[in-house]
Amino acid sequence: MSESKTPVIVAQGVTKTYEDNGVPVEAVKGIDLTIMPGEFTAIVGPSGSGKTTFLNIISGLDTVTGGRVSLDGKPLSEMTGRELSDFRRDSIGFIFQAYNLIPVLSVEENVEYVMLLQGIAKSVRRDRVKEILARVGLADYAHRLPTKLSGGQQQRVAVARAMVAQPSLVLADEPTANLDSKTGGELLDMMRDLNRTTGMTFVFSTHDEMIMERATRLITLRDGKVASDEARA
Amino acid sequence: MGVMIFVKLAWRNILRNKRRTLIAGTAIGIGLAAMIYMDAIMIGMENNMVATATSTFLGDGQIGREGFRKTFEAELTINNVDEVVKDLAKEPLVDKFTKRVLGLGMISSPANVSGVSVIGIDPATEPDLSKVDEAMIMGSYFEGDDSRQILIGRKLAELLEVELGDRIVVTVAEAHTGDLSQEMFRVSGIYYFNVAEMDQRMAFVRLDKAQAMMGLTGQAHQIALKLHDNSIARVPGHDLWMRYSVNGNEAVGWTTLLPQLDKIFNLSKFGILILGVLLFAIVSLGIINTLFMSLYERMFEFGVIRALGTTPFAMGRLVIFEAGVLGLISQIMGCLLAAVTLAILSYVGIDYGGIEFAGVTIVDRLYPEWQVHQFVIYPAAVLLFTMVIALYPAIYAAKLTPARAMRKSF
Amino acid sequence: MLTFKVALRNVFRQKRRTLLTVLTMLGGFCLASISLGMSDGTYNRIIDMFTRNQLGHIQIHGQGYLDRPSLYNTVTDFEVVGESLDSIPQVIAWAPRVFAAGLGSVGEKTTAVRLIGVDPERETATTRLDKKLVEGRLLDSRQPYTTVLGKGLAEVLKAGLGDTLVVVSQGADGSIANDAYEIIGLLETGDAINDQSAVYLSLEDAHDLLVLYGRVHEIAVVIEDIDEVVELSGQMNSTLAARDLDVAPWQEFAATFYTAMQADRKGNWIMLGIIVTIVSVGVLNTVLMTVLERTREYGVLRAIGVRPFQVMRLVVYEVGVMATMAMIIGGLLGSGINYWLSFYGIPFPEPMTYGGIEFTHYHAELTPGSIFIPAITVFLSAMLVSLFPAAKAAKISPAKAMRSN
Repeated sequence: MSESKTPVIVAQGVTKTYEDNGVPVEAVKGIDLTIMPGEFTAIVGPSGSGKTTFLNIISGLDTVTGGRVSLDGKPLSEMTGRELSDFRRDSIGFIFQAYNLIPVLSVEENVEYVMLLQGIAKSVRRDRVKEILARVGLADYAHRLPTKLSGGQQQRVAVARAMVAQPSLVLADEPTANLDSKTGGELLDMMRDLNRTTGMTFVFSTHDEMIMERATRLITLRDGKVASDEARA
Repeated sequence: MGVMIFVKLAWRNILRNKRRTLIAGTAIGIGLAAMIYMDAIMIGMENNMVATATSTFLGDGQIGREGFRKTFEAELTINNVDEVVKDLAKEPLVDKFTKRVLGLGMISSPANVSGVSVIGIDPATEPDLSKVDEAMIMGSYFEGDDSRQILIGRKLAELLEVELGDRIVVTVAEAHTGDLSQEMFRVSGIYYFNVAEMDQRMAFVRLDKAQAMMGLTGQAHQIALKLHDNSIARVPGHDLWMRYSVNGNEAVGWTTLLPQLDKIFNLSKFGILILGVLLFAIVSLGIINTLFMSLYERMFEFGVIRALGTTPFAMGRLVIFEAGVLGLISQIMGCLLAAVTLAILSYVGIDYGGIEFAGVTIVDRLYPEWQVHQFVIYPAAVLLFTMVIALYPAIYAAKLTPARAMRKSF
Repeated sequence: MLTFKVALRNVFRQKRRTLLTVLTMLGGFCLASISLGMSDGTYNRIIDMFTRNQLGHIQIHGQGYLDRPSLYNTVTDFEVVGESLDSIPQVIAWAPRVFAAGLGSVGEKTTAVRLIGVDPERETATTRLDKKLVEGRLLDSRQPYTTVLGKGLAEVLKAGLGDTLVVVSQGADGSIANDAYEIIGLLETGDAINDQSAVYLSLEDAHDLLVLYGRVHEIAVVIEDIDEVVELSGQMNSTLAARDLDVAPWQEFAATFYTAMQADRKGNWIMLGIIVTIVSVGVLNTVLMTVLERTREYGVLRAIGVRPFQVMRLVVYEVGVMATMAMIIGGLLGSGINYWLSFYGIPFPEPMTYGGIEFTHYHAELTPGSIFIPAITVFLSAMLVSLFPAAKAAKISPAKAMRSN
């Protein structure tokens, strides 16, 4: 990880206040952060520390109240809604805690969705889907509907979908929270493996110790600010 | 290519919640069916009334002297009637025609006196134009050549207290002199149309007898026409009417003879349109409700879809597509409902039993008529309407940021 | 009471949904209300026109006359009958009439005419005959051998004031009736067909011509409240039964119109049915979705000890609140619109003639029915339809509910 590489994420003085049922909530009170390519970073903190909000901001899912965010050198805070959409489509993969998949589309259709948005040719799409499903061990489940999959399987499809369009960054918000420890562990091993072999950057928001164990960098948030930032083996 | 996935999504999303789709679809469907049904009944009524009016006695059109229709003055006979008849015989647009003489007069029996329209008809050609021969219930329709034969309606017969074979006296005024001409006739036939005007205030005699009584030998007041294509009757400016409206004569279609009928139809069409619009105003509220509800249920999912890179525009379009699918299903339901109801009714008919409306009595059963435009234009309009209303929820969905969407679901 | 309070607050909590639901019910209400108001208004106007202006509310004839009008079927001693009519408080006025068919000529022009013998003062009091005069003056019982013609007839005969009309008819004794009258006036009743053949004579002249002394064919009666017409006719029938007379309300002597009107009214009910169905479906949709969405909330309620029936009642009350709101706003709006329309009306694209009378506008009328019928039907149907989702809500098991979503 040399200094000449472009950082994946640069956050400068980011603040965010939103309204919850009419009550204003200051979720993020000033964060400066840089994330480099290839990291397997976990952002931890108690409920209400601003983890999810911060993750939403650096991925373009939400807007900042103050400060600036750039992704791959491009300033997110100045993009229009449309530009943000396109950006997310091309550069970021998402994995949520639950309900990741579009329930009316099959596994295969879910995985290829982003590529459809990108306008990639059918044959190329199909090949990549097959390849990535094999990678995550779900090649036989291509035509299943999400409701017929177990929690762990659904999350694996989410990983496949997050990676298939070869984004710069994969953001995972509590991906293992709904899984038992064995399944969760397997999922994380798979993701760590992908990180090592492809060099794809992973950023997690989590309380889960299993993630913290595997992370190369641990950032702790408290009350909307960075409390600590340590590198790990 | 990127659009197809959204069509697919829209389709599957609507079918996902079958009960809701069914309920909403039913509401829209009923509204549509109601419109189709009313339209069909209107057409059926129109056809029925027009057919009754024209085929019972009026004809598709008439030629007469200008001004005769207004005053019924005996002197106003058709100019150059023989030439007109010759032309009509060669006229390709005219199927059949017949001459008539009309006089307003009195008819009396020992028991009573009544005002009457005495109509002289040509027994040979009249049956082509009117249904007097078919309406006979007693006696016969001008057999032989007895000039003292007269046909009256059942109601008139009752009024005069006469039966077949009885004597009655008819008094009319002679043309030009105004002298009264009185003749005795024998009731040779009694008819029944179930139309008050005809059953009570008309009497038919032979054309030559009427001409003689009124001093109008060789003349006629009216030539009734039956056309090959009766839609011409609805076009007052048509060439046919123009050509025969010369020399002081006028040729007109039934729409001019019965302006009331035409007006009523236009009025009803207008009324149905307004009703349709109002009905759909109500239905549209249900549509918006349904769409919003299905949005709220899937907030997190919408957030995910947006996170993946779907543009706000594509999001709004998805909602509109869903409205389109819902609309499509509703149209099919509505059309089916309408088709079934109409199929039954156009077979069985509706009995209006002799109700008089705008001067015409509805005699036969009414058969609603289905036409292509009902099943194509109305559904298309409703479908379009549904998708336009969906703009409200669509814009709402498009404007949401993904994060807000995901927050809203908790 | 607590349930009601909770219901009230719940309704205002979710503004958009409440608004849409209330609008649905409101829309249905207003549509129904205006339809009924227009229908009632239009018909009532037509009825008023032809009864008050021409035919009267009630007509008295000899038995069987309505079915078979005959010169010889008369009301004898009509003055006596008139006296008994005068003693009835609801009767405003009555007018005797004599009818006969004949031929009338002015100069060389001859046409069929309808002779109508009237008492000019009584006729004016009953059907406002004086207002229909367009030229000249009305008949005067002191001036014999005068006549007033319908304007259309004058045109046909090319006659004007001062001309002589010669009438030929048949007397009640079988003789030829023949006399001449001076035309002193022209009138227009609004019924074109009538005006094209009507010859009005004074009652005395008609009696002379037709040899019908003391007898008339018809007595037209106008009463104060048209809604009492059937009841009054029944009363009169019993008092006059001995005289072999037939008292008919307008529904009988204008039977063709009445049947047509009834048929059209039936159509109104069908329309109401359709509107109610659509509204019900809309309400069902909303309430069902609300219930499904709040499954967790109902589960919590049941967990803390609320009984199924009380949950059901909560749902029904919520619909009740919305329905009541819709009814109140609808009642005001509907009344306002009907009232406005009763004055201004909606113009026809072209004037229309119905039963001989010309109409230029559709008018509504603010009748109690036009407010209460929609109110009751929409309210009841909304409440009824809410029972299904309410029952669903009552059946929610607490544990299952809290696990969902």
